Amino acid sequence: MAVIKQQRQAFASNIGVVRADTGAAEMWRGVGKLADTIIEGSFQQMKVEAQQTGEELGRTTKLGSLRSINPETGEVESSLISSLAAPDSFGSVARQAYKSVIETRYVKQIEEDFKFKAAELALEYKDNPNAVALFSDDMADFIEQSTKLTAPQFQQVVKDMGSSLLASNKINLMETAMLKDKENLSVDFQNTFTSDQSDLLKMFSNNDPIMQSDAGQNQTRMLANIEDNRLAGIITSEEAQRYRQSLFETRADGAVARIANLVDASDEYSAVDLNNVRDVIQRNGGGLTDLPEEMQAIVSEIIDMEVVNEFSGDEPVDVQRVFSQIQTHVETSLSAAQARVSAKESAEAASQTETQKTQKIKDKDIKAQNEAGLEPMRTAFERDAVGFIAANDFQSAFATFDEFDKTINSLSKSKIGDKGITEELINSTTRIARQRMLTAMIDKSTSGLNSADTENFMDYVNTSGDQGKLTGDFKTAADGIIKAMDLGIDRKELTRHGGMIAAARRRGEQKNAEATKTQKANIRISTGRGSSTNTADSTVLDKVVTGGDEAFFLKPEAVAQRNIWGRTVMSSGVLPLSLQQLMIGSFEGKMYTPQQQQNLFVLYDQFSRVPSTDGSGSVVNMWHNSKLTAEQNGFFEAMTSIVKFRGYEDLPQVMDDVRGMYQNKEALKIKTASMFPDGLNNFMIEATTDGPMLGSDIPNPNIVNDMKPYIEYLIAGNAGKEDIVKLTRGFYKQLYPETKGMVIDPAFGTVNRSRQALSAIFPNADDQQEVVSYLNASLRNKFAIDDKFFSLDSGGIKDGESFNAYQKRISSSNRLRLMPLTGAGQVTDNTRYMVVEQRVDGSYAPLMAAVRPSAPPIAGQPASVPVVQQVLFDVAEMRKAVPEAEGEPLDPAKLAERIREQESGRTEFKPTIGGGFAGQLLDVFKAF
Amino acid sequence: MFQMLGTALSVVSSIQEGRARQEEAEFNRYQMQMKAKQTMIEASQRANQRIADFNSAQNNNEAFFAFLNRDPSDQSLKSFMSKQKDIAYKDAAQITSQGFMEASQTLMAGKMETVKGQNALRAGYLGAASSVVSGIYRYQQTKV
Repeated sequence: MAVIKQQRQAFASNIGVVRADTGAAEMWRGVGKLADTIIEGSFQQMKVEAQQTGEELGRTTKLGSLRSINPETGEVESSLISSLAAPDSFGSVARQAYKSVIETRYVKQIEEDFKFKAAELALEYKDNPNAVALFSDDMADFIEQSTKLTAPQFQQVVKDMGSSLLASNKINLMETAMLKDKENLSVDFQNTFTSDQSDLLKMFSNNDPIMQSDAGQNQTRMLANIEDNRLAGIITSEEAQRYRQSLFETRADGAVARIANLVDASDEYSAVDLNNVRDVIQRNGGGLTDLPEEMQAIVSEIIDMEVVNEFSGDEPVDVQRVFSQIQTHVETSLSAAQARVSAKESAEAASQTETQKTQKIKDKDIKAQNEAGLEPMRTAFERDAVGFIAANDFQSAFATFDEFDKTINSLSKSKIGDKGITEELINSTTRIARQRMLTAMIDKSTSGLNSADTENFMDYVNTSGDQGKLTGDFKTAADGIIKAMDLGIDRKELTRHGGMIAAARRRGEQKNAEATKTQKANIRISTGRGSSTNTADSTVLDKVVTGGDEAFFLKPEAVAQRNIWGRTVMSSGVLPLSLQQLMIGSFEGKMYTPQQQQNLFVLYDQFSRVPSTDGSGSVVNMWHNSKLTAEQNGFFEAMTSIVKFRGYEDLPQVMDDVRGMYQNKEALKIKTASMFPDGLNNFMIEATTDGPMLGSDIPNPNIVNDMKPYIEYLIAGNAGKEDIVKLTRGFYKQLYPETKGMVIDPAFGTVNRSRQALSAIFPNADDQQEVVSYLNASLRNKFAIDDKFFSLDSGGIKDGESFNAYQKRISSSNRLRLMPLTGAGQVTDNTRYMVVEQRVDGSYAPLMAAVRPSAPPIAGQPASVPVVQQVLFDVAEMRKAVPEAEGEPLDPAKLAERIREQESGRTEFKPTIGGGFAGQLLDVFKAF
Repeated sequence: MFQMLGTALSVVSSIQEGRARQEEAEFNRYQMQMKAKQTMIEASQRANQRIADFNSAQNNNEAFFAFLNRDPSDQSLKSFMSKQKDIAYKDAAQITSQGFMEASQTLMAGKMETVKGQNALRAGYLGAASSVVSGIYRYQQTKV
């Protein structure tokens, strides 16, 4: 056994290290965070306080003004922005806040200074004729100086602000000046009018017939003057009416004065006579013959005043009211005169001494002489001057004026201070005389000129020869006028007068131009070159058709008589202007009543299917060559199509729907695509193609085109697909019956169906046969045609046979057909058909024949030559064949209802009204 | 007032935080030195034990050879004994060397703690200075 030896088993092993973490650092870090919070919070608070302090100081610091004048330099002063720096003690926050406020105030202060200066200058120059120029110059100087004084960084801002203010104020000043000018002209006119009116009253108050005649001419001139001023915008229409009325009142006052003078001057008359005059005027002339003879004429003048003509201008005026007011004025004047005469009579009665009476008469005579002293002189001068001017002798006129001037001035010198003749009166008389002479010269000189040359003449006169080019006699005359006129006094009057002449001539020239335009349009229309797009042409047609009644086409008679006036429109090829404008208004949604709207659709329909004038039998849409746009035509074509099917019920709503449909075509496309994935056209072609079993598989594109807008309308109106499919097939079968070899409808081309097929009017087969027999009899009896005839074909198109082949098969040299003149559409009794026969080449030609004489020729007299004419039948005539068959025509709205009922199996059999038993049996068969 | 108080607090806290971190680092350095010494002691102990084990085994072997009547001066036994000794001493040397290296690493880490502590103190002073400058700057901004 081996010896066991002890070995060491315990060793000192590594006990690792202890990482120190006393938490002291974390504690101090916490203290640091607390310190940061305190610092941040107090910093924000200090910033706010600094900003408030800066702004407050900025608001309270006193700014200088640009308008402050330095007494030493005499120049404008302003506080420079550099002197408005923030205090050094301010930190950056307070400094920035202060700067922002102070700069805003600084700019605003400058703006205020500019505005104040502008107001100051405007006030200073407000009465100066050159106010605008002076204001502009001074204000511009001020702005320039101010800009130099402001700190460089603000100079551009201040400059822009100043320019803007200058422009704004300048415009205001100009407007004010213009208004003032206008006001001056108005005041001037008023003053002249008042002066002239005063003269007129004197003249009308005078019993002298010559004076009365002159007064009448003056009144006419003043009325024309009022109208010219109204047209020139110097007075308003209301003012013009007041002036006109005032003139008539003046005339009435003159008449009243004459009556009062009669009473005053004669012992035979008294205030009682004036009362009688009042009574007669109140009764509009009743009892006139009971008045004294002398008074009758004057009272008649008042009663018969032609007020109406003068108040029937552009502005509508209640003439009756005006006349009544004049009558009231006369009544007032007469009442006053009566009171005065009564008072005078009373006073005279009270007067006891003959001396007093004599003295009064003397005073009256003296006063009358004074007052009338200048008037006859001026009237005499004017008469002479007008005579010279009429004879083109301006020099003599000037000489006469010089003489008149001297005379009247010498009179004034000797009479100044006398009662009734003042220097103002003399000046006024001279001014009026001179201005009337000069205006008469202008009238004479420009009498042969047009408006442009008249303006040129007046430019020359008004600018004293600086502007306007004149030569020869015109220059001589104008120079004479310039020499004679007193620029400061006469220029405005002459300018206004010349302007009025030019304006009147321009109006005349415009009227002449209109007349020429109308004449040319007449020629174009009569030679077949008229066009609906030409305003002049369509205006002429408008006048011809409506007689100037712009609402004619909205009235029921327009529709009732459309076949009469429509012929004129169709033969001229021009649509009346107002009709086109109404159509455009309808498209734009103007508020017409449903009935008016319906009228417009009927009229659109009428002229959208007009037979071509080339004899081809095709139809044209006159609206396509009119003022209507393609979009507008599209709208009306859609609407006329839709109302064919839907009727006119809820028309405004339908119109809105169609407008919406056209405005939102994309939505319609999406709806259509979702309902008919293969396309609406494909569906409609399929739905309107006869199946081979029925004799043809030819598509009917024209029927598709006819129905498509309505089907689109239904889709836009969210109708169900099933409903649309039923309606489309039902309409096709029942609304477009087969033509059965009787009707050729150019609107439907090579399709064996038409809305105007005979069976569309007479659904009963027996009735159709009756109509054919009647037509054949008419041909024989009326036109002596017995080798050509109509015939119904009941076989129809065979399987695989084309329309043309079918027509050829059933054609013979003596077979006739009916061709509707107005194309497809709702059949009415007025629908006309022309009779056509097929040519060898397959085309159709109208049948021409002479009417059989109603009586045999009388022996010994030559037989009348028969006139060959086109053979036509209308529906009303066809109805004579089956008078009992007055059933309702195929109404699409009722038909739609019927189709829905039939499809749902809820309908009851409704036999066709009238017709024979066979027809009713056929109806029964169709219904089931 | 609050601005000044905050700044002062910030200065004090920054310096004190630096100091605290330095003290912690100093403590860590001392711990590292201790660990290095322990590592050296442990390595010496293990090396001694290895030599002791060898000596014990050598005695056993010699006794066993004697029991087998083998001449200890036999070349083959000599060679065997020499080899055994060589292995044992190489192990002892290896153990000592390993311990020395581990102790050196730990001492190095201790020195790093010293540097870290010094830097933390400097950061504390810098933070304090930064607080003072920031306080002055804010005052300049907001003074009125």
